Amino acid sequence: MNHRLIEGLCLPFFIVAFWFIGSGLELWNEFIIPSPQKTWQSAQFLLSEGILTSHVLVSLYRVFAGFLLAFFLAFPLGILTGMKPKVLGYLEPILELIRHIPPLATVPMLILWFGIGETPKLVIIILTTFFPIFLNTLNGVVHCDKKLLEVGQSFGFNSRDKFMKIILPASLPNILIGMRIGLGYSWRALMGAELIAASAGIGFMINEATHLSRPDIIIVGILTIGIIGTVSDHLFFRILHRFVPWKDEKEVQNGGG
Amino acid sequence: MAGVNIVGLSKQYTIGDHSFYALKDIDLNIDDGSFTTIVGKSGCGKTTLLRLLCGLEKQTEGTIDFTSGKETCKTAKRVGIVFQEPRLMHWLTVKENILFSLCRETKSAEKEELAEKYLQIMGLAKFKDAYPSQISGGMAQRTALGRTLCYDPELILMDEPFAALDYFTRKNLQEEMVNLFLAYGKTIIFVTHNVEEALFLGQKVVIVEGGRIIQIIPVDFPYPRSYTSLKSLGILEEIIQTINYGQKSSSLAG
Repeated sequence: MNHRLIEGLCLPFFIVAFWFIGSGLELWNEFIIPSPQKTWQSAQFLLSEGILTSHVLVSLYRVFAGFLLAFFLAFPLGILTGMKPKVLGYLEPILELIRHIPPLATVPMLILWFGIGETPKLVIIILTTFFPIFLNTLNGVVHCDKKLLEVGQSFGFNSRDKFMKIILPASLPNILIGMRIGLGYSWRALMGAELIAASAGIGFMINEATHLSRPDIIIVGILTIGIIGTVSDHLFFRILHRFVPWKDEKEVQNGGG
Repeated sequence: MAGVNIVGLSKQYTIGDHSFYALKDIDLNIDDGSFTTIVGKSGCGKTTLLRLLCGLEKQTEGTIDFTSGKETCKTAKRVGIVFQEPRLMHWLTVKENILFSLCRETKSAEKEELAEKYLQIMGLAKFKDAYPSQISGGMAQRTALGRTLCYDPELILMDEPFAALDYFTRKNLQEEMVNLFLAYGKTIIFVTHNVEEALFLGQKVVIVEGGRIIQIIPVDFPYPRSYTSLKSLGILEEIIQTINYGQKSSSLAG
Protein backbone atom coordinates (compact mmCIF):
# COMPACT_ATOMS: atom_id res chain seq x y z
CA MET A 1 0.00 0.00 0.00
CA ASN A 2 2.72 2.48 1.01
CA HIS A 3 4.68 1.59 -2.05
CA ARG A 4 1.68 2.25 -4.26
CA LEU A 5 0.99 5.52 -2.48
CA ILE A 6 4.52 6.76 -3.18
CA GLU A 7 4.26 5.69 -6.82
CA GLY A 8 0.93 7.45 -7.16
CA LEU A 9 2.20 10.67 -5.61
CA CYS A 10 5.21 10.99 -7.94
CA LEU A 11 3.44 12.62 -10.88
CA PRO A 12 1.35 15.09 -8.81
CA PHE A 13 4.54 16.08 -7.02
CA PHE A 14 6.34 16.88 -10.27
CA ILE A 15 3.36 18.80 -11.63
CA VAL A 16 3.14 20.96 -8.51
CA ALA A 17 6.91 21.43 -8.49
CA PHE A 18 6.82 22.52 -12.16
CA TRP A 19 3.97 24.87 -11.31
CA PHE A 20 6.02 26.42 -8.49
CA ILE A 21 9.20 26.80 -10.52
CA GLY A 22 7.44 28.05 -13.66
CA SER A 23 5.56 30.68 -11.70
CA GLY A 24 8.68 31.66 -9.75
CA LEU A 25 10.67 32.15 -12.99
CA GLU A 26 7.68 33.89 -14.59
CA LEU A 27 7.66 31.47 -17.53
CA TRP A 28 4.01 32.36 -18.12
CA ASN A 29 1.66 35.21 -17.52
CA GLU A 30 0.26 35.31 -13.97
CA PHE A 31 -3.13 35.94 -15.52
CA ILE A 32 -3.09 32.67 -17.51
CA ILE A 33 -1.74 30.45 -14.78
CA PRO A 34 -1.84 32.02 -11.31
CA SER A 35 0.95 31.07 -8.94
CA PRO A 36 0.42 28.25 -6.46
CA GLN A 37 0.80 30.73 -3.61
CA LYS A 38 -1.98 32.92 -4.94
CA THR A 39 -4.24 29.91 -5.55
CA TRP A 40 -3.58 28.63 -2.05
CA GLN A 41 -4.40 32.07 -0.58
CA SER A 42 -7.66 32.17 -2.52
CA ALA A 43 -8.53 28.68 -1.34
CA GLN A 44 -7.90 29.71 2.26
CA PHE A 45 -9.93 32.89 1.81
CA LEU A 46 -12.84 31.03 0.21
CA LEU A 47 -12.75 28.42 2.96
CA SER A 48 -12.47 30.86 5.89
CA GLU A 49 -15.31 33.00 4.57
CA GLY A 50 -17.40 29.83 4.16
CA ILE A 51 -17.94 30.63 0.47
CA LEU A 52 -16.40 27.42 -0.86
CA THR A 53 -18.16 25.29 1.75
CA SER A 54 -21.58 26.74 0.99
CA HIS A 55 -21.13 26.23 -2.77
CA VAL A 56 -19.92 22.68 -2.18
CA LEU A 57 -22.89 21.94 0.05
CA VAL A 58 -25.33 23.27 -2.54
CA SER A 59 -23.77 21.08 -5.25
CA LEU A 60 -23.59 18.03 -2.99
CA TYR A 61 -27.22 18.45 -1.99
CA ARG A 62 -28.25 18.55 -5.65
CA VAL A 63 -26.28 15.43 -6.50
CA PHE A 64 -27.60 13.60 -3.46
CA ALA A 65 -31.26 14.50 -4.09
CA GLY A 66 -31.04 13.90 -7.84
CA PHE A 67 -29.23 10.63 -7.35
CA LEU A 68 -31.84 9.35 -4.91
CA LEU A 69 -34.71 10.32 -7.21
CA ALA A 70 -32.96 8.69 -10.16
CA PHE A 71 -32.34 5.53 -8.17
CA PHE A 72 -35.99 5.21 -7.14
CA LEU A 73 -36.99 5.60 -10.78
CA ALA A 74 -34.31 3.48 -12.42
CA PHE A 75 -34.00 0.59 -9.98
CA PRO A 76 -37.67 -0.56 -9.95
CA LEU A 77 -37.95 0.01 -13.69
CA GLY A 78 -34.79 -2.02 -14.28
CA ILE A 79 -36.16 -4.88 -12.18
CA LEU A 80 -39.57 -4.72 -13.83
CA THR A 81 -38.26 -4.71 -17.38
CA GLY A 82 -35.76 -7.42 -16.51
CA MET A 83 -38.47 -9.68 -15.13
CA LYS A 84 -41.05 -8.87 -17.80
CA PRO A 85 -39.40 -8.82 -21.24
CA LYS A 86 -42.72 -7.66 -22.74
CA VAL A 87 -42.51 -4.32 -20.94
CA LEU A 88 -38.99 -3.88 -22.27
CA GLY A 89 -40.31 -4.21 -25.81
CA TYR A 90 -42.49 -1.15 -25.27
CA LEU A 91 -39.82 0.94 -23.58
CA GLU A 92 -36.65 -0.01 -25.42
CA PRO A 93 -36.87 2.24 -28.53
CA ILE A 94 -37.67 5.42 -26.62
CA LEU A 95 -35.08 4.71 -23.94
CA GLU A 96 -32.50 3.96 -26.59
CA LEU A 97 -33.19 7.34 -28.20
CA ILE A 98 -33.00 9.28 -24.94
CA ARG A 99 -29.84 7.45 -23.94
CA HIS A 100 -27.96 8.95 -26.86
CA ILE A 101 -28.86 12.55 -26.05
CA PRO A 102 -26.23 14.19 -23.84
CA PRO A 103 -28.18 15.60 -20.88
CA LEU A 104 -26.39 18.92 -21.22
CA ALA A 105 -27.98 19.35 -24.66
CA THR A 106 -31.35 19.51 -22.95
CA VAL A 107 -30.34 22.35 -20.61
CA PRO A 108 -31.76 25.18 -22.79
CA MET A 109 -35.10 23.37 -22.92
CA LEU A 110 -35.01 22.67 -19.20
CA ILE A 111 -34.34 26.33 -18.43
CA LEU A 112 -37.23 27.29 -20.65
CA TRP A 113 -39.54 24.92 -18.79
CA PHE A 114 -38.26 25.08 -15.24
CA GLY A 115 -36.35 28.37 -14.97
CA ILE A 116 -32.91 28.47 -13.40
CA GLY A 117 -33.94 27.20 -9.97
CA GLU A 118 -33.26 23.81 -8.47
CA THR A 119 -35.58 21.81 -10.73
CA PRO A 120 -33.53 21.81 -13.95
CA LYS A 121 -30.45 20.69 -12.01
CA LEU A 122 -32.32 17.80 -10.47
CA VAL A 123 -33.68 16.86 -13.88
CA ILE A 124 -30.19 16.96 -15.36
CA ILE A 125 -28.88 14.66 -12.66
CA ILE A 126 -31.82 12.29 -13.04
CA LEU A 127 -31.30 12.17 -16.80
CA THR A 128 -27.63 11.30 -16.40
CA THR A 129 -27.89 8.90 -13.48
CA PHE A 130 -30.96 7.04 -14.68
CA PHE A 131 -29.34 5.12 -17.51
CA PRO A 132 -26.32 3.63 -15.80
CA ILE A 133 -28.50 2.43 -12.90
CA PHE A 134 -31.35 1.26 -15.12
CA LEU A 135 -29.21 -0.51 -17.71
CA ASN A 136 -26.96 -2.22 -15.17
CA THR A 137 -29.93 -3.38 -13.08
CA LEU A 138 -31.64 -4.68 -16.21
CA ASN A 139 -28.46 -6.39 -17.29
CA GLY A 140 -28.03 -8.02 -13.89
CA VAL A 141 -31.58 -9.35 -13.82
CA VAL A 142 -31.62 -10.53 -17.43
CA HIS A 143 -28.28 -12.31 -17.12
CA CYS A 144 -29.13 -14.05 -13.88
CA ASP A 145 -27.87 -17.62 -14.30
CA LYS A 146 -30.75 -19.87 -15.38
CA LYS A 147 -29.02 -22.79 -13.72
CA LEU A 148 -29.28 -21.09 -10.34
CA LEU A 149 -32.95 -20.39 -10.97
CA GLU A 150 -33.44 -24.10 -11.60
CA VAL A 151 -32.02 -24.79 -8.16
CA GLY A 152 -34.71 -22.52 -6.73
CA GLN A 153 -37.34 -24.22 -8.85
CA SER A 154 -36.25 -27.64 -7.64
CA PHE A 155 -36.80 -26.45 -4.06
CA GLY A 156 -40.28 -25.30 -5.00
CA PHE A 157 -39.58 -21.56 -4.59
CA ASN A 158 -42.39 -19.22 -5.58
CA SER A 159 -41.59 -16.16 -7.71
CA ARG A 160 -41.05 -13.97 -4.66
CA ASP A 161 -38.50 -16.39 -3.19
CA LYS A 162 -36.80 -16.70 -6.54
CA PHE A 163 -36.51 -12.94 -6.77
CA MET A 164 -35.40 -12.29 -3.21
CA LYS A 165 -33.08 -15.27 -2.82
CA ILE A 166 -31.60 -15.61 -6.31
CA ILE A 167 -32.25 -12.80 -8.79
CA LEU A 168 -31.71 -9.82 -6.49
CA PRO A 169 -28.50 -11.03 -4.83
CA ALA A 170 -27.16 -12.29 -8.16
CA SER A 171 -27.65 -8.89 -9.77
CA LEU A 172 -26.56 -6.84 -6.78
CA PRO A 173 -22.99 -6.30 -8.03
CA ASN A 174 -24.36 -4.98 -11.34
CA ILE A 175 -26.80 -2.70 -9.55
CA LEU A 176 -24.10 -1.26 -7.31
CA ILE A 177 -21.74 -0.76 -10.23
CA GLY A 178 -24.52 1.07 -12.07
CA MET A 179 -24.99 3.31 -9.05
CA ARG A 180 -21.27 4.00 -8.86
CA ILE A 181 -21.05 4.95 -12.53
CA GLY A 182 -24.23 7.01 -12.16
CA LEU A 183 -22.78 8.92 -9.25
CA GLY A 184 -19.70 9.85 -11.25
CA TYR A 185 -21.78 10.90 -14.25
CA SER A 186 -24.19 13.00 -12.20
CA TRP A 187 -21.36 14.94 -10.57
CA ARG A 188 -19.94 15.84 -13.97
CA ALA A 189 -23.30 16.72 -15.48
CA LEU A 190 -24.17 18.93 -12.54
CA MET A 191 -20.99 20.95 -12.98
CA GLY A 192 -21.96 21.50 -16.60
CA ALA A 193 -25.45 22.60 -15.64
CA GLU A 194 -24.18 24.95 -12.96
CA LEU A 195 -21.78 26.54 -15.42
CA ILE A 196 -24.64 27.35 -17.77
CA ALA A 197 -27.23 28.65 -15.37
CA ALA A 198 -27.16 28.72 -11.60
CA SER A 199 -27.02 31.09 -8.67
CA ALA A 200 -25.05 28.82 -6.36
CA GLY A 201 -22.86 25.72 -6.47
CA ILE A 202 -19.28 25.07 -7.47
CA GLY A 203 -20.04 25.38 -11.17
CA PHE A 204 -21.57 28.78 -10.47
CA MET A 205 -18.51 29.79 -8.44
CA ILE A 206 -16.27 28.94 -11.39
CA ASN A 207 -18.50 30.76 -13.83
CA GLU A 208 -18.59 33.85 -11.64
CA ALA A 209 -14.80 33.77 -11.31
CA THR A 210 -14.58 33.72 -15.11
CA HIS A 211 -16.56 36.94 -15.31
CA LEU A 212 -14.43 38.51 -12.58
CA SER A 213 -11.20 37.37 -14.26
CA ARG A 214 -10.08 35.35 -11.22
CA PRO A 215 -8.27 32.28 -12.60
CA ASP A 216 -7.08 31.42 -9.08
CA ILE A 217 -10.67 30.84 -7.99
CA ILE A 218 -11.33 28.82 -11.14
CA ILE A 219 -8.42 26.54 -10.28
CA VAL A 220 -9.67 26.16 -6.69
CA GLY A 221 -13.10 25.24 -8.06
CA ILE A 222 -11.73 22.72 -10.55
CA LEU A 223 -9.54 21.03 -7.94
CA THR A 224 -12.47 20.92 -5.50
CA ILE A 225 -14.62 19.13 -8.09
CA GLY A 226 -11.85 16.59 -8.67
CA ILE A 227 -11.25 15.99 -4.98
CA ILE A 228 -14.92 15.59 -4.06
CA GLY A 229 -15.49 13.30 -7.04
CA THR A 230 -12.57 11.11 -6.01
CA VAL A 231 -13.61 10.98 -2.35
CA SER A 232 -17.24 10.16 -3.10
CA ASP A 233 -16.25 7.45 -5.56
CA HIS A 234 -13.88 5.96 -3.02
CA LEU A 235 -16.58 6.00 -0.33
CA PHE A 236 -18.95 4.31 -2.72
CA PHE A 237 -16.35 1.71 -3.55
CA ARG A 238 -16.04 0.95 0.16
CA ILE A 239 -19.79 0.50 0.45
CA LEU A 240 -19.77 -1.65 -2.67
CA HIS A 241 -17.09 -3.86 -1.22
CA ARG A 242 -19.02 -4.29 2.00
CA PHE A 243 -22.17 -5.37 0.16
CA VAL A 244 -20.33 -7.69 -2.18
CA PRO A 245 -17.92 -9.53 0.08
CA TRP A 246 -17.75 -12.61 -2.14
CA LYS A 247 -15.89 -10.83 -4.91
CA ASP A 248 -12.30 -9.88 -4.44
CA GLU A 249 -11.30 -6.26 -4.57
CA LYS A 250 -9.80 -6.35 -8.05
CA GLU A 251 -12.94 -7.69 -9.63
CA VAL A 252 -15.10 -5.02 -8.05
CA GLN A 253 -12.63 -2.29 -8.97
CA ASN A 254 -12.39 -3.39 -12.57
CA GLY A 255 -16.13 -3.69 -12.82
CA GLY A 256 -16.40 -0.05 -11.76
CA GLY A 257 -15.33 1.12 -15.22
CA MET B 1 -39.91 -41.50 1.41
CA ALA B 2 -41.16 -42.08 -2.03
CA GLY B 3 -40.99 -44.53 -4.85
CA VAL B 4 -41.69 -43.67 -8.45
CA ASN B 5 -43.81 -45.39 -11.04
CA ILE B 6 -43.12 -44.29 -14.59
CA VAL B 7 -45.40 -45.46 -17.39
CA GLY B 8 -45.03 -44.76 -21.11
CA LEU B 9 -42.99 -41.64 -20.56
CA SER B 10 -41.85 -39.73 -23.66
CA LYS B 11 -40.29 -36.35 -24.17
CA GLN B 12 -40.15 -34.68 -27.54
CA TYR B 13 -37.98 -31.66 -28.29
CA THR B 14 -38.32 -29.37 -31.25
CA ILE B 15 -35.31 -27.49 -32.50
CA GLY B 16 -36.10 -25.32 -35.48
CA ASP B 17 -38.55 -27.39 -37.52
CA HIS B 18 -36.85 -30.62 -36.60
CA SER B 19 -38.30 -32.58 -33.71
CA PHE B 20 -36.95 -35.66 -32.02
CA TYR B 21 -37.60 -37.83 -29.01
CA ALA B 22 -35.09 -37.47 -26.16
CA LEU B 23 -37.02 -40.16 -24.31
CA LYS B 24 -39.38 -42.72 -25.78
CA ASP B 25 -41.81 -45.04 -23.97
CA ILE B 26 -40.01 -45.30 -20.68
CA ASP B 27 -41.51 -47.75 -18.18
CA LEU B 28 -39.69 -47.88 -14.91
CA ASN B 29 -40.56 -48.74 -11.37
CA ILE B 30 -38.40 -47.37 -8.58
CA ASP B 31 -38.96 -48.87 -5.15
CA ASP B 32 -39.31 -46.82 -2.05
CA GLY B 33 -35.92 -46.59 -0.32
CA SER B 34 -33.93 -48.05 -3.19
CA PHE B 35 -30.74 -46.91 -4.89
CA THR B 36 -31.08 -46.92 -8.66
CA THR B 37 -28.38 -45.92 -11.11
CA ILE B 38 -29.10 -44.94 -14.67
CA VAL B 39 -26.21 -45.38 -17.04
CA GLY B 40 -25.72 -44.50 -20.68
CA LYS B 41 -23.74 -42.49 -23.17
CA SER B 42 -23.91 -38.72 -23.41
CA GLY B 43 -27.13 -37.63 -25.03
CA CYS B 44 -28.97 -40.88 -24.36
CA GLY B 45 -31.73 -39.06 -22.50
CA LYS B 46 -30.76 -39.84 -18.91
CA THR B 47 -30.58 -36.21 -17.84
CA THR B 48 -33.92 -35.52 -19.49
CA LEU B 49 -35.44 -38.27 -17.38
CA LEU B 50 -34.21 -36.61 -14.19
CA ARG B 51 -35.42 -33.20 -15.30
CA LEU B 52 -38.88 -34.64 -15.90
CA LEU B 53 -38.85 -36.32 -12.50
CA CYS B 54 -38.14 -33.10 -10.63
CA GLY B 55 -40.55 -31.04 -12.68
CA LEU B 56 -38.01 -28.84 -14.47
CA GLU B 57 -39.55 -30.03 -17.75
CA LYS B 58 -42.94 -31.36 -18.77
CA GLN B 59 -43.30 -34.71 -20.48
CA THR B 60 -44.90 -35.05 -23.89
CA GLU B 61 -46.62 -38.32 -23.08
CA GLY B 62 -46.90 -40.77 -20.21
CA THR B 63 -47.27 -40.51 -16.49
CA ILE B 64 -45.03 -40.18 -13.46
CA ASP B 65 -46.62 -41.29 -10.20
CA PHE B 66 -44.93 -40.90 -6.88
CA THR B 67 -45.78 -43.56 -4.35
CA SER B 68 -45.48 -42.99 -0.67
CA GLY B 69 -46.54 -46.04 1.32
CA LYS B 70 -49.91 -46.85 -0.21
CA GLU B 71 -50.57 -43.33 -1.43
CA THR B 72 -49.99 -42.36 -5.03
CA CYS B 73 -49.78 -38.81 -6.26
CA LYS B 74 -48.85 -36.91 -9.37
CA THR B 75 -46.28 -34.70 -7.74
CA ALA B 76 -43.91 -35.72 -4.99
CA LYS B 77 -43.90 -33.45 -1.98
CA ARG B 78 -40.16 -33.11 -1.95
CA VAL B 79 -37.77 -34.06 -4.71
CA GLY B 80 -34.20 -32.87 -4.32
CA ILE B 81 -31.73 -32.75 -7.15
CA VAL B 82 -27.95 -32.53 -7.25
CA PHE B 83 -26.74 -31.24 -10.61
CA GLN B 84 -23.57 -32.03 -12.46
CA GLU B 85 -22.20 -28.62 -11.51
CA PRO B 86 -22.49 -27.58 -7.86
CA ARG B 87 -24.69 -24.58 -8.77
CA LEU B 88 -23.99 -22.86 -5.48
CA MET B 89 -25.08 -19.31 -4.81
CA HIS B 90 -21.75 -17.53 -5.05
CA TRP B 91 -22.84 -14.74 -2.70
CA LEU B 92 -23.54 -17.16 0.14
CA THR B 93 -21.10 -19.00 2.36
CA VAL B 94 -20.95 -22.79 2.49
CA LYS B 95 -23.20 -22.77 5.54
CA GLU B 96 -25.72 -20.37 4.01
CA ASN B 97 -25.76 -22.44 0.84
CA ILE B 98 -26.60 -25.57 2.79
CA LEU B 99 -29.52 -23.75 4.41
CA PHE B 100 -30.61 -22.25 1.09
CA SER B 101 -33.81 -24.28 0.67
CA LEU B 102 -35.27 -23.29 4.04
CA CYS B 103 -38.09 -20.78 4.04
CA ARG B 104 -37.62 -17.47 5.80
CA GLU B 105 -39.95 -18.45 8.64
CA THR B 106 -37.55 -21.14 9.87
CA LYS B 107 -36.36 -20.26 13.36
CA SER B 108 -32.69 -19.41 13.67
CA ALA B 109 -32.11 -22.01 16.40
CA GLU B 110 -33.45 -24.68 14.08
CA LYS B 111 -31.32 -23.35 11.24
CA GLU B 112 -28.19 -23.53 13.39
CA GLU B 113 -29.01 -27.08 14.31
CA LEU B 114 -29.56 -28.14 10.69
CA ALA B 115 -26.43 -26.34 9.53
CA GLU B 116 -24.42 -28.04 12.25
CA LYS B 117 -25.82 -31.43 11.28
CA TYR B 118 -25.19 -31.25 7.55
CA LEU B 119 -21.84 -29.50 7.83
CA GLN B 120 -20.83 -32.39 10.06
CA ILE B 121 -22.19 -35.09 7.73
CA MET B 122 -20.53 -33.59 4.68
CA GLY B 123 -17.28 -32.86 6.52
CA LEU B 124 -17.50 -29.15 5.82
CA ALA B 125 -17.46 -27.75 9.37
CA LYS B 126 -14.06 -26.10 8.86
CA PHE B 127 -15.20 -24.40 5.66
CA LYS B 128 -18.59 -23.17 6.77
CA ASP B 129 -17.72 -19.48 6.34
CA ALA B 130 -15.92 -19.87 3.03
CA TYR B 131 -17.46 -18.63 -0.21
CA PRO B 132 -17.85 -21.07 -3.14
CA SER B 133 -15.00 -19.34 -5.02
CA GLN B 134 -12.67 -20.23 -2.17
CA ILE B 135 -13.28 -23.99 -2.02
CA SER B 136 -12.30 -26.91 -4.24
CA GLY B 137 -14.61 -28.64 -6.71
CA GLY B 138 -15.08 -31.59 -4.37
CA MET B 139 -15.97 -29.32 -1.47
CA ALA B 140 -18.41 -27.43 -3.68
CA GLN B 141 -20.14 -30.66 -4.72
CA ARG B 142 -20.31 -31.74 -1.07
CA THR B 143 -21.94 -28.42 -0.27
CA ALA B 144 -24.46 -28.97 -3.06
CA LEU B 145 -25.19 -32.44 -1.71
CA GLY B 146 -25.53 -31.01 1.81
CA ARG B 147 -27.95 -28.40 0.47
CA THR B 148 -30.11 -31.10 -1.10
CA LEU B 149 -30.04 -33.28 2.04
CA CYS B 150 -30.99 -30.28 4.17
CA TYR B 151 -34.11 -29.91 2.03
CA ASP B 152 -35.00 -33.34 3.44
CA PRO B 153 -36.26 -34.76 0.14
CA GLU B 154 -38.26 -37.96 -0.16
CA LEU B 155 -36.50 -38.64 -3.42
CA ILE B 156 -32.95 -37.61 -4.28
CA LEU B 157 -32.03 -37.21 -7.95
CA MET B 158 -28.37 -36.95 -8.88
CA ASP B 159 -27.25 -35.94 -12.34
CA GLU B 160 -23.65 -37.08 -12.86
CA PRO B 161 -22.73 -35.20 -9.69
CA PHE B 162 -19.16 -36.50 -9.54
CA ALA B 163 -18.33 -36.39 -13.24
CA ALA B 164 -16.15 -33.30 -13.02
CA LEU B 165 -14.19 -34.46 -9.97
CA ASP B 166 -10.79 -36.10 -9.89
CA TYR B 167 -10.47 -39.86 -9.37
CA PHE B 168 -9.71 -39.77 -5.64
CA THR B 169 -12.36 -37.23 -4.72
CA ARG B 170 -14.88 -39.11 -6.80
CA LYS B 171 -14.15 -42.44 -5.11
CA ASN B 172 -14.33 -40.78 -1.77
CA LEU B 173 -17.72 -39.27 -2.47
CA GLN B 174 -19.04 -42.52 -3.93
CA GLU B 175 -18.24 -44.26 -0.65
CA GLU B 176 -19.93 -41.46 1.23
CA MET B 177 -23.01 -41.79 -0.96
CA VAL B 178 -23.26 -45.46 0.01
CA ASN B 179 -22.87 -44.55 3.68
CA LEU B 180 -25.54 -41.86 3.40
CA PHE B 181 -27.87 -44.28 1.68
CA LEU B 182 -27.34 -46.91 4.35
CA ALA B 183 -27.76 -44.36 7.14
CA TYR B 184 -30.88 -42.53 5.89
CA GLY B 185 -32.41 -45.01 3.48
CA LYS B 186 -33.68 -42.35 1.09
CA THR B 187 -34.76 -43.23 -2.42
CA ILE B 188 -31.91 -42.25 -4.74
CA ILE B 189 -31.81 -42.11 -8.52
CA PHE B 190 -28.27 -41.56 -9.69
CA VAL B 191 -27.44 -40.81 -13.32
CA THR B 192 -23.94 -41.44 -14.59
CA HIS B 193 -22.01 -42.28 -17.74
CA ASN B 194 -19.47 -44.16 -15.66
CA VAL B 195 -20.34 -47.87 -15.69
CA GLU B 196 -18.14 -48.70 -12.70
CA GLU B 197 -19.76 -45.96 -10.71
CA ALA B 198 -23.20 -47.23 -11.66
CA LEU B 199 -22.28 -50.73 -10.48
CA PHE B 200 -20.56 -49.56 -7.34
CA LEU B 201 -23.59 -47.57 -6.20
CA GLY B 202 -26.78 -49.04 -7.59
CA GLN B 203 -29.02 -51.84 -6.43
CA LYS B 204 -30.49 -51.69 -9.87
CA VAL B 205 -28.63 -50.48 -12.95
CA VAL B 206 -30.84 -49.09 -15.68
CA ILE B 207 -29.18 -48.91 -19.10
CA VAL B 208 -30.52 -46.20 -21.37
CA GLU B 209 -29.64 -45.83 -25.02
CA GLY B 210 -31.23 -43.66 -27.67
CA GLY B 211 -33.96 -42.47 -25.34
CA ARG B 212 -35.10 -45.97 -24.40
CA ILE B 213 -34.41 -48.31 -21.55
CA ILE B 214 -32.61 -51.27 -23.10
CA GLN B 215 -31.87 -53.29 -20.02
CA ILE B 216 -32.33 -53.29 -16.26
CA ILE B 217 -29.74 -55.22 -14.29
CA PRO B 218 -30.28 -55.96 -10.59
CA VAL B 219 -27.08 -55.88 -8.53
CA ASP B 220 -27.65 -57.96 -5.41
CA PHE B 221 -24.13 -57.52 -4.19
CA PRO B 222 -24.12 -56.20 -0.59
CA TYR B 223 -22.70 -52.81 0.46
CA PRO B 224 -19.97 -51.76 1.01
CA ARG B 225 -18.69 -52.90 -2.35
CA SER B 226 -15.21 -52.79 -3.72
CA TYR B 227 -14.21 -52.21 -7.31
CA THR B 228 -12.18 -55.41 -7.49
CA SER B 229 -15.00 -57.65 -6.33
CA LEU B 230 -17.40 -55.94 -8.76
CA LYS B 231 -15.07 -56.74 -11.63
CA SER B 232 -15.16 -60.43 -10.71
CA LEU B 233 -18.95 -60.38 -11.03
CA GLY B 234 -18.58 -60.03 -14.77
CA ILE B 235 -21.53 -57.67 -14.98
CA LEU B 236 -19.26 -54.77 -15.86
CA GLU B 237 -18.33 -56.24 -19.24
CA GLU B 238 -21.93 -57.13 -19.90
CA ILE B 239 -23.08 -53.55 -19.32
CA ILE B 240 -20.35 -52.09 -21.50
CA GLN B 241 -21.21 -54.57 -24.28
CA THR B 242 -24.88 -53.73 -23.97
CA ILE B 243 -24.26 -50.02 -24.24
CA ASN B 244 -21.89 -50.46 -27.16
CA TYR B 245 -23.79 -52.98 -29.27
CA GLY B 246 -27.32 -52.80 -27.96
CA GLN B 247 -29.41 -55.47 -26.31
CA LYS B 248 -29.20 -58.18 -28.95
CA SER B 249 -25.49 -58.79 -28.97
CA SER B 250 -25.33 -58.75 -25.18
CA SER B 251 -27.92 -61.48 -24.97
CA LEU B 252 -25.93 -63.45 -27.52
CA ALA B 253 -22.77 -63.03 -25.50
CA GLY B 254 -24.34 -63.91 -22.18
